[in-house]
Amino acid sequence: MDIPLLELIKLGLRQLYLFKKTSAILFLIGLVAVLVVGLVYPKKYTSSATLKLEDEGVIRPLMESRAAIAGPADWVKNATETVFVYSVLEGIVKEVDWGGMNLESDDVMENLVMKIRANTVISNAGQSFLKFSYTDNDRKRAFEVTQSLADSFIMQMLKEKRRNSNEAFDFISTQVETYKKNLTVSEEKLKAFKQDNVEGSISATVQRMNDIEQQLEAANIELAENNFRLESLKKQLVGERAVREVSSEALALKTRINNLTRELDQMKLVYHDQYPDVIALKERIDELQIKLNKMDPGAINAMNAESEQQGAQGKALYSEIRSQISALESNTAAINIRKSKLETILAEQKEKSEKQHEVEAELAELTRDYTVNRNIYQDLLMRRENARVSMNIELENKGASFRVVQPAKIPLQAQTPPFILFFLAAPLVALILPVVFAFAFVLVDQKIRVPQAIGAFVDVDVFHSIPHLNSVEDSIAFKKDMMVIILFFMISLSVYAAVGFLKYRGYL
Amino acid sequence: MKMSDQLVYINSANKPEIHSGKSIKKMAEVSEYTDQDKDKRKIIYPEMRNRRVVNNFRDLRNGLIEKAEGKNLTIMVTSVAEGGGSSFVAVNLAAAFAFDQSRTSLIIDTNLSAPGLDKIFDIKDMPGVVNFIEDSGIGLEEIIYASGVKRMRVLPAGQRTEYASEYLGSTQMESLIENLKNRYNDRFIIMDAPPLTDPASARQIAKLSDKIVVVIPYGKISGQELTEKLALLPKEKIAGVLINNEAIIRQF
Repeated sequence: MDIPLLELIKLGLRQLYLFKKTSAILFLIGLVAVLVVGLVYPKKYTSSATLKLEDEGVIRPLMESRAAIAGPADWVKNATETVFVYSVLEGIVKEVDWGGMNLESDDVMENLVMKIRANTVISNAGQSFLKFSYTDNDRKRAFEVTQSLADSFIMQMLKEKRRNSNEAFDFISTQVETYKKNLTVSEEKLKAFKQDNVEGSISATVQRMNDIEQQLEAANIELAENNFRLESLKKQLVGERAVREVSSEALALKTRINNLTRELDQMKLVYHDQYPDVIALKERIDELQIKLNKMDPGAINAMNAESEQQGAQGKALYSEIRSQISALESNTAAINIRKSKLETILAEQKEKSEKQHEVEAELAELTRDYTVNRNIYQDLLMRRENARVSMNIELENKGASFRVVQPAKIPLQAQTPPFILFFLAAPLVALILPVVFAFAFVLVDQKIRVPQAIGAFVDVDVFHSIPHLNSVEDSIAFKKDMMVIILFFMISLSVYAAVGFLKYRGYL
Repeated sequence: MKMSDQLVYINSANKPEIHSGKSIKKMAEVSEYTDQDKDKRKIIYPEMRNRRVVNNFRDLRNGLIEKAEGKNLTIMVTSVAEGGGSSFVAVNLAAAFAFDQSRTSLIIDTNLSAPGLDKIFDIKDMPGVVNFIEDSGIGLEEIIYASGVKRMRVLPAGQRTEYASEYLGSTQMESLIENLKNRYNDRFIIMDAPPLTDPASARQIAKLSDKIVVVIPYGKISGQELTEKLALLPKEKIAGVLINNEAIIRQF
């Protein structure tokens, strides 16, 4: 239903009127309830102790970023975690007087521990102040627990810090040892490697390779020269031989002819010219002569002109050429041998240079390992010294610690609201209660009271509502109601006054 | 002053007669209620102190006249629940109509099982609707009486009966209303009907009416209930609803 606010207020007020008697009763109930609560409200006392983060004074600036000292911002969290440990709280419980509770029982102990946890507040009270507060309904207990909390905290902090720096130191020492070993190992590896691979440097090898390549070039050039000369010499020789061959062939023929002629002559001595063998021989001689005549005249000349000298010269030339040829051939052979040797060496050098690259790479890696290990090791050495300093600082308690600046006290005043508050609040609550009830009723009770409520349900014309007509009976009834209301009011008033009076006099 | 001592016979002839405005004044009026009487009976009058009440009824009357478009209406007044105050509204609506010197109104108590007008007009046990239906010999004029209000007539329920819805649906009832309509063209007929908790009766009366006014008692019913109850009536005849604060029962 969308009823405008003004209408709702009117409805609420009308309902309040309709609920006259109910309202009167609610008034009384409200009044009494608040008064009762005020009377029986359990008193709570809070005690607190304030600790100050000890001034680090001279040492702090020196130790800045060397030794580790925690900042005050985390102290509350720190303190809570430290002090709320079950064993710590257990200790506190045992120190305090709980009025004869059986602390041996696990249940009881647990409940008390939970109670302390629930009622303790640890807070920051300024830059480097820490405040412990505990609330209880017994004054003395509040005080005792608070005191115990603060003391426990201080003790725990000392213990823990010592333990921490000892642990830190031990840990780092172990690390130092480990890395020392690592360093030694990598050092050894490096040394061994260097020893095994003393080869010359790469640049020397490259130089050598260049050298050899140059030599090979030279050899190839020589070889080409030789070949060329060999070719021409061989050509000469072939010419000579050709000539020689021809002339020797002519010589052979001539010789044969001479032989045969001799033979013929011989034969002629015995036989006459018509002897068949003689004829045959003659024919043969003629054949050979023809053949001879067909030959290169140069060659014949050579043969004919062949004198001892020229023969000897020819022979000398021929053998000269031949010896030159053999000289060249053996030179060539030598060069080839040299070449293949050089090529072998070149190949070796190439292999060597490749190997050298590998070696250098590995060397670089080993060196790097070594360097890294060495750096870490040095770093760890430094850290260990820092940890040692921290530890020593702790030992002398010159590091951060807490001092009690405001010790726990037995609280005199209760934290809970004083009775006067309830006393004054009672009439207000009593007045509000019926109003709230009336309004709540109107809101919750979904019945039609005003025309605006109808539209949501049916589509009909709504005429003006008919107001109530006060009749005589109404007046009488009203008077009756008023009597009831006044009665309740009188009762309320008396109760209120009575309670106030008795409380004032201390009877309650 | 008891009404029963002073019966008024309107016209003994059974022929329907048309009365003009002048004849209204001639009707013998019984002694009127005093203002105090009216206050006691919760009947409105123009000079009454509570202006809001009288004006709201006037508005209701005017609204209905508008919807009438010139005709004389037969209006059914019912309520959503028992004790809704439909009698109160019906009587005062009739009274409002009677304010106008040229009009008269007739209020019929059609709540035959639990008549609501008896107390208001002291007409208990006087012959009325039931009698007319049961006894064909009874004429209209025998059952219409003067109320204590000028120009307002009342037709009681008559004897108590358990056959309410049957009677209401009978031909006699039909002819009763027909006759009433025809006889008095200047008369607005208002029927104080039983609440919608008796749907059968309500429906019968709805058949006989031109317009229906539904009374909603303050803070008694939910929107849901309203929807349900209104669905029992022919939609086109519903002139509208109104909330009756008069019916607020003094709550604790």
